[in-house]
Amino acid sequence: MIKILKGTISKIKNIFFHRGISIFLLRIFLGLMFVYASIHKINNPVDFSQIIAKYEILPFWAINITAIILPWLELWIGILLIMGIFVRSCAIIQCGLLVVFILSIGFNIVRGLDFYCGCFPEDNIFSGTNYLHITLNIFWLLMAILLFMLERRRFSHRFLMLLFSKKTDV
Amino acid sequence: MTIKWKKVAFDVIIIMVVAIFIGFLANELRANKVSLVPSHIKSLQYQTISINEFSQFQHTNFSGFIFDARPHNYYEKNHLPNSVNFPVSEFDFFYSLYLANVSIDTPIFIYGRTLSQTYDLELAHRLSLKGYRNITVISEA
Repeated sequence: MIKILKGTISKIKNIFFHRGISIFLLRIFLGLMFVYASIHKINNPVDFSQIIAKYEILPFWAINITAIILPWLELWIGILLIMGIFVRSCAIIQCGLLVVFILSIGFNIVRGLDFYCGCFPEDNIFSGTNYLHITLNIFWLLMAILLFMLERRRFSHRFLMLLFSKKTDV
Repeated sequence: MTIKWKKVAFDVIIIMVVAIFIGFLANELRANKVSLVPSHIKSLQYQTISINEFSQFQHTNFSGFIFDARPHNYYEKNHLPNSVNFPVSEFDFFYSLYLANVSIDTPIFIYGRTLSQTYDLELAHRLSLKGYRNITVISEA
């Protein structure tokens, strides 16, 4: 009986802590999150540029350029993560972006500024300049770091590895 | 585990370049595109004066308006002596309040810039569209 129980536990453990499954789940979650976050910014670039300006972090000449590039960078990273292409590099960029977001929101909390942060659509519970948002961003940052540490390959799919390089770096 | 940083860096550059390219291309193709530099910064229909020059000028012969174009909370914290708050976000209201019956040749001095927002240039641009010709923007430098 104990043997069967131990076997079942080890099977469950193997399923949940299997490297491939963990990488897959992290990729899909982080990828979908970034795609979701990018869509409303792409649809309303003018509104997004005004939100960036409210942060009072970037110089005025960099506001519109950031509003043009950032949403597409998020979308592109999200798509690449879902497809399993350049996973480690996407995870690094994602870490960088999340660190910037955490610092920006934290900076505004310290300065006492409270406005819609622009990360997700305005009616979303994750939107706002508050500690919950920072905590979630830290959690997502840890997930991105974990993904970077787990994924040792450039491509998550065997056929992509074969397609892009003869000698894989597994 | 050895991380091949050169490959990672190369991929990061590729991802960034593609994202920048797609971003600019999509912006060019869309109807409500965002200009790289705001239109009020491009149109230079006003003079500029440094804050030191302005303080000297103010002591000698001054007539006209000094507008602080920032939002009210910024104006409350600090503002130039004798300036009045003219938040550019409420342009129509403050225009009718201060300038409804004022000649378009009246000297207008505008102050109010933050790191990310050019309230002064926006107000100068909007007043120039109304026909005011004697507009001077007071710069920090």
